[in-house]
Amino acid sequence: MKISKILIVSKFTFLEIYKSKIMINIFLSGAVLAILCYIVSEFSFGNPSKVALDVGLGLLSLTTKAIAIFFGANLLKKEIESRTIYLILSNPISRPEFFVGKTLGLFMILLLNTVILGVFTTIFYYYWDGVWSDLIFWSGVHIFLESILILVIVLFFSLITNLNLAIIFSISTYISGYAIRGVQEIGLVKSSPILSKSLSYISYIIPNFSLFNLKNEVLYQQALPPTYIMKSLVYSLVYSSFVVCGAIIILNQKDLD
Amino acid sequence: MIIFNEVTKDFKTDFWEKPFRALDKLSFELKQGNIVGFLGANGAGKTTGIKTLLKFIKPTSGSIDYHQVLGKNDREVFKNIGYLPERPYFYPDLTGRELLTYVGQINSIQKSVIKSESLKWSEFLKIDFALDRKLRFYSKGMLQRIGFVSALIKNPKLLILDEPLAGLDPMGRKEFKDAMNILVKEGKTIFFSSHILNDVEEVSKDVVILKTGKLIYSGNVLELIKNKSSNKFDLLVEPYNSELLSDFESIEQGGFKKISIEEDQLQEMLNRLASNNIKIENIRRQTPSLEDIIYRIGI
Ligand SMILES: Nc1ncnc2c1ncn2[C@@H]1O[C@H](COP(=O)(O)OP(=O)(O)O)[C@@H](O)[C@H]1O
Ligand SMILES: [Mg+2]
Repeated sequence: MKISKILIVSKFTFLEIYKSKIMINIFLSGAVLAILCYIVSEFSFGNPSKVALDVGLGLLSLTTKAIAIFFGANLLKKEIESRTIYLILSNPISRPEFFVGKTLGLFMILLLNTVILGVFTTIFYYYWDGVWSDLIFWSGVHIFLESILILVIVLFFSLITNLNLAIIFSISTYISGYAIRGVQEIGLVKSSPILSKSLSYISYIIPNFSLFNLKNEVLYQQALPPTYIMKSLVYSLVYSSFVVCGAIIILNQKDLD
Repeated sequence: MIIFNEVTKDFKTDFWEKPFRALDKLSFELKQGNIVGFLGANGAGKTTGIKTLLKFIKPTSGSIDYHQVLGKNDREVFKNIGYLPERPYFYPDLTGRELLTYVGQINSIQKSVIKSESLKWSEFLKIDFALDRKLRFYSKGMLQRIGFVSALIKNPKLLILDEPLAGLDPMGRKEFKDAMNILVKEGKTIFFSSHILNDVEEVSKDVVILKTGKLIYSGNVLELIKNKSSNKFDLLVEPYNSELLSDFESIEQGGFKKISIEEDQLQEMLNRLASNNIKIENIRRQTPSLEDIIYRIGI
């Protein structure tokens, strides 16, 4: 794999998505955040800085997931179905380079979205007299990591099934990734060795999305051990590498017609 | 440059149905330096053949060899092949110029060269006026033109054009044909598919003819016409009393009578015409066009 080829594809992927006016949506989200905070502060329903944080991180989490799922599902699907992929693959570039380039392009869009909404949130939080905590930063990082994990899962599914099913499968994976940790804690499950054993096997396959949810820690200002951050970083890196490898193998085998 | 060795491609349609054979043991060689027409009715398998050549799909069996001239590995080979897809759909939100830059950069072409080549070919193919518009606002013919430019900026040794003339206006068709003639003079090889006989006959020296996935003919166009030309002659003679030559059929044509006969009957006919004092206006060996031949071998 040649980095230069990957970067070219990611650059133009970024450009294409950027020019498709998605950025307007990001700024709209920022505006919604501002309006909500303003309403809260004017009518003093609660603590506006807390609302800024809550709504801001909520919007960030929602938009990154939405972008990851819907743009991710279309990222390769559209290339294959509208045959734009022919235009690129008839040039000196391999399928893995193309795949990684496309993924990196959307990665950059997600990063940009995260940074912009993160900055908005922080500004509003400060404006309404919030007190800084590193947790806010780490919470943004975790939301970003989570969206990357969702992105690679959507990409994987988009290569083996149709658009709608890819979206449904990805959302199902996300929900079960969350739910499975909760289910494991249920007394009934704990008391049954078979059930808990099989669940723990499944939990190796389905990503542990609850790892990326720092909402409670942020709201209740709990401290986050550094090992936790390391763990989630490494976890998302390793997990998404595996999924990317799987997707590349599938793409390499695939008839593009 | 490229050799197809018994390439077969089956498409799985439905789970329970037997696969559809789009290419059936297709073998032919693409020689360097010519315009080669790839002829076949709709659904004959031309696009499938091209997709296999470009490795978008894998053959079910058989193989394709790429000559050393094109390169030692995939990267070099694809650097030397320019491709225009059948229905050029491009990134709708990129401009024409951005598209050309994208393709140029993947081919590791210098910025200044991308610029000059883009300008040169887009002027030639009359699309330079639209380079800064988004591709979503291009018409089909315009997409075809920008697609051709994008195949040309990397200065490829082999051009593969899938139905390049479809969807173009008459001027566009002429410009494309002119471009093809210029390119082949520069030493490039062009392989272009078409279901329109006249187009192939007009520009290409060699032709590969497909019928339902099978090869019908591969070789020189003129030779095909010569080989398949009949041994018949057409004689145009002045009107005569039809009883004189009642054993030959004739048709009226422009005040003359036209008689078609086999070569071995020609001498006898000439004698009889002479003995009956019938004046001959014209004698000509029947030369069918490619079209006649295709109809005869039934494509
Ligand atoms: N992905 C596919 N699945 C099933 N059948 C296909 C597929 N692609 C092409 N075909 C069939 O293969 C035949 C050849 O198609 P194609 O190569 O596009 O023909 P041409 O380009 O000569 O018009 C057609 O009958 C077409 O329906
Ligand atoms: Mg076709």
